Parts: sequence; structure tokens; C-alpha cells
Amino acid sequence: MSKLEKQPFSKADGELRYVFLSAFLENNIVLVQAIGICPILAVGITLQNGVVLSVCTAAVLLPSSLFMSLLGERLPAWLRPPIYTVGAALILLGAAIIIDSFISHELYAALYVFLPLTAVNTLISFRAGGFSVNHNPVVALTDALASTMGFSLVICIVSAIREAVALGTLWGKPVKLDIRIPEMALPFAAFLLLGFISALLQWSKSVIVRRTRRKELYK
Amino acid sequence: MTYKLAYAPYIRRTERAAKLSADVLIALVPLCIFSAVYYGLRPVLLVLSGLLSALICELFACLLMKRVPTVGDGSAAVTGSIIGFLVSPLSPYWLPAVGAAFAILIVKMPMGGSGRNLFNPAAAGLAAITLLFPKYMFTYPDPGLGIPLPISNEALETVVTQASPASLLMSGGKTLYTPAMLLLGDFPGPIGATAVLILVSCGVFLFARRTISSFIILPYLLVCAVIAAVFPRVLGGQADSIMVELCAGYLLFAGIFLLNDPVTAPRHWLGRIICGVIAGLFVMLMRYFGRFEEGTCFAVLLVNAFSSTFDRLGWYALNYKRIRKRRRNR
Repeated sequence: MSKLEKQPFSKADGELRYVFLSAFLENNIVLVQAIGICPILAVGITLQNGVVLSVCTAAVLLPSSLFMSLLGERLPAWLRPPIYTVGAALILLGAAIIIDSFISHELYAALYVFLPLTAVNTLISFRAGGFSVNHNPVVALTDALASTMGFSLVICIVSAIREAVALGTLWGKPVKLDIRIPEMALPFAAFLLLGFISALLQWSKSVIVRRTRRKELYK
Repeated sequence: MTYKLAYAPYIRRTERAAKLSADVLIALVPLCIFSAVYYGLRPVLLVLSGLLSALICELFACLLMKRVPTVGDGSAAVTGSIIGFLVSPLSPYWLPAVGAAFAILIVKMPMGGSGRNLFNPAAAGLAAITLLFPKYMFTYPDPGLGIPLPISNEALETVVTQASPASLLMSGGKTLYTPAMLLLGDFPGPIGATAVLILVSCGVFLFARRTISSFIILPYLLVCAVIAAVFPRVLGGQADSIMVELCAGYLLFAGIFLLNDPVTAPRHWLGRIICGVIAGLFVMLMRYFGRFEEGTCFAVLLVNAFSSTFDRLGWYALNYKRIRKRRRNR
């Protein structure tokens, strides 16, 4: 890595915005890169689960990205994964205790093994262990924030749809909906939903590209 | 000189995909007549419900995508009628319609429509209705009574139901079916999948028309038979086990009509053999360890996902020496 790239604030604001938008929407971490699908399939059944999982992801990804961008280059490559995994596990241990004893025991039981599994989520290993290592802290933090937001956007949409259709509730409150398909709680429904949301994203991207090209033509 | 851009199915002998679909539809007609003999008019209406739903959904999707309607090539008709053939004669009329709509609107058209679908739409539609409504899918009427089923949906509660061979296999014990009963289709099962003799003759017809390939179906049946012989689930010997396993459910029907779909099947001959072997393995695994008594549609979907891999694998296996020599020389 050159010295220029390692200096904080060396990137222009436009580039930061590009990094943010790229990870958040354009190359959305779940829809385009297909990373971190497992928790969405398994426990993205209610909106509460979705929100808790996105908060936990943020709590893990932001510190580990920062840490890896500050120290990642100095550590040997074989030592990086154990370090950020152990760190993430420690953070999640605290999160699990907080959720279990202060928020709700049922929520903790519903999240089951997928709360600790966030520590070894591909999301963490790709962003913290891959992207952050050779980028400066500001860029790494922006990317981590955008990735978390992209993940939480998708998990919230999917879990809200699944909760409304499978259980007939939204955030525990009943919703008036005529269709009731309990099988939406099965993983295949989440796969179908992800596929259609991803197709929607690609379609809207193509529309935007076409519009901007047309604008450039008629300038 | 201009070249025409062509999409799969890439067929050399018959010029149009419509001919292929017509062959399959012709092969399906005797099965429909057979079912009408046993159960009256109801199975025919069920098949028509699936067929019409598939055609309407395809037309609607084509109009939505602003494309020339591909209803004419008949693939939607084949999809819809196959779904109609694999539901129980006791299922309500909306069941095959829902399956066909799922197959066309969610599996086939978003992937790009006719000739570009990754998964067999009929198998996917069946998988969806199996997962959503297993109660309707696996209650079969007793064919031995010879009484036509009621036409309306409300009068179905009074019909005598019977456990199918597939569910008997799942619960273990001894099955009471003689070879003659199994060959003549005198046992409870899906509309079009019980008449084993007619199915075999349909297979021979399609094979003579070169619509289906023996490279897929023979290894498939062989693997199923070997697994049934090595791990029998019924008391009473290996021959009994092989016979009942091959005739129960829609294993044979899937081998003839679903695995040989010209769009999703592998094209290389060795790839086809590998595909048949893996399909047989998956089908038997689904039966032995699956949640439902018949999971053939899931096995077909799994195999479809690896279709192009089988093609490449077959090609590599044949050209292995040449590829290695070229790598060494580089």
C-alpha cells in the first residue's frame, strides 16, 4: 500500500460517497454480492429479529473494521481471522447477555444460535478481513456502515414481508391482510423474496443508467 | 450473411420446439383417458385446469414483458398439464392452477421465458404445491371401487381414501400389491402416474420419436432399482422392493417427462448419464429421509441446478488426456 492511501482524509468526499453508495445500494452486500444470506433465511421471520440482528451486525462490524484497518497490515495474514472472530465473539457475548436479561428472553430464544453465529458471518470476514485491511480508517468505517445499512435494509424488508404474510402481524401487532401463508416462514420463501428484490434492484439500476445516458446525449 | 440468434432447446433433428411439445402432449393423452376410466371426468378437468392456468399465465407474462407471446411453442401447455397429471384425483380444481401459475410466473418467466429457464417449471410448481398443500397432494382415492368421483369440490369428503404405496413404503411393513395390480395401475396415486404399462409405452413412443434420451432414464431407473434392492423398506424380498419402489409415487413419470425436458437436461451424452445417476440417488434419498412420501420433484430441481456442470464434467472426462497434455506443453 502506498502512503497516500493510508493517510486519513486523503480521499475526496465524492469518493467517500461512492464507497457508501456502492456498498449500500449499487453492490448491495446481500442482493448483489450474496454475502450474509444465512441469518436472513433462518431467523428473518419477524421484524423484531431483523432489527436485532442488524443492530448486532453493526455492533460487531464497525469496531472490527476500524481495528483491522488500523492494525491489519501489521498483522500476519494467518493471524487476522482469529483475531477479528474472537473480538466479534466477545462483543456478541455482551450483546447476548444484554438481550437475554434486559430486553426479552423470548427474543433471545427466537434468535437461537444465529446471534452468536453473526461472529463468523461472511459479512464480517469479507468486509473486516478483506476490504478494511488495505483501506484507511475513514473509508473502512464508511464501508462498514454502508454494508450494515444494506444488510439491515434487506433483512428488514424480507422479515417484515414474511411476518405480515406468515403470522399476520408486524412488530407483534396484528395487520389486516387477507392472504395468510404460514409456509412463508420456510427458507425457500426467503430465497424467492431475495431473488425478486435483487431483480428489482438490477432493473432500477438499468433504468437509472439508461436515463443518465439519455441526459448526456441530449446535453 | 446473417445468422439467426437461437435460444435453447438446441435441437438438430426437429426444426421447432413446438413439435417436441406436441409429442409430449400426445404421449400424455392416453394417461388422461386411463385416469378417466378409473375416476370419471374429474381428473380430465384437473388436467385442463392446470393447462389453462399455465397458458393464461404465460400469455399474461409475455404481454407484461412486452414480448411476442411464446404460447405457441407449447412448453407452457406441457408444464401445466404435467402439473395437472401429478396431483391427486381428489385435489380441488384450484390446486393445479396454483401450481401452474407458480411455475410460469415465478420460475419460468423471470428467468427469461421459454428456452431460458434454469429449472424445470413443472417440477418447481409441483414442489411449491407439495410444500404448501401436502394435505391435498397426498390423499388419494381408492381406485378399486370403480365409482366415478364427484365433479364438485364440496362432495369430496365422502370419497373413500386409501394409503398410497409410497406412504406404505414410508411406514414400512408389508405391501399387498401384486405385480399385475401395479402394472395395470390398480393402486392409489397421482392422476397420470399409476398406469405403469401405459407410461412405459409412452416412454417407448417418445424414445422412438427421439424426444427423450435413454442416456438419462436408463441409469436413473438402474440406480433407483439398485438402491431399492440393497436397502429394501418392505418385508418380502428384494424383487418386491424394487417393483413397489419403481411403481410407487411418480418416479417413472418424472424419469420420462421431467428429467428429459429439452431445456434443462444436459446435452452431452456422458453428462446425461451422470445426470441420471445423480437424479436416481437424490430421488431415493428424498424418499428414505425426506419429509414427504414423494420428493421426486425436489430431486429433479436439485439435478437441474447442476445440469451445465454435468455437461462440462462429461466433456472433461472424455478429453482428459488431451487437456492434460496441452497443460503440460504450455
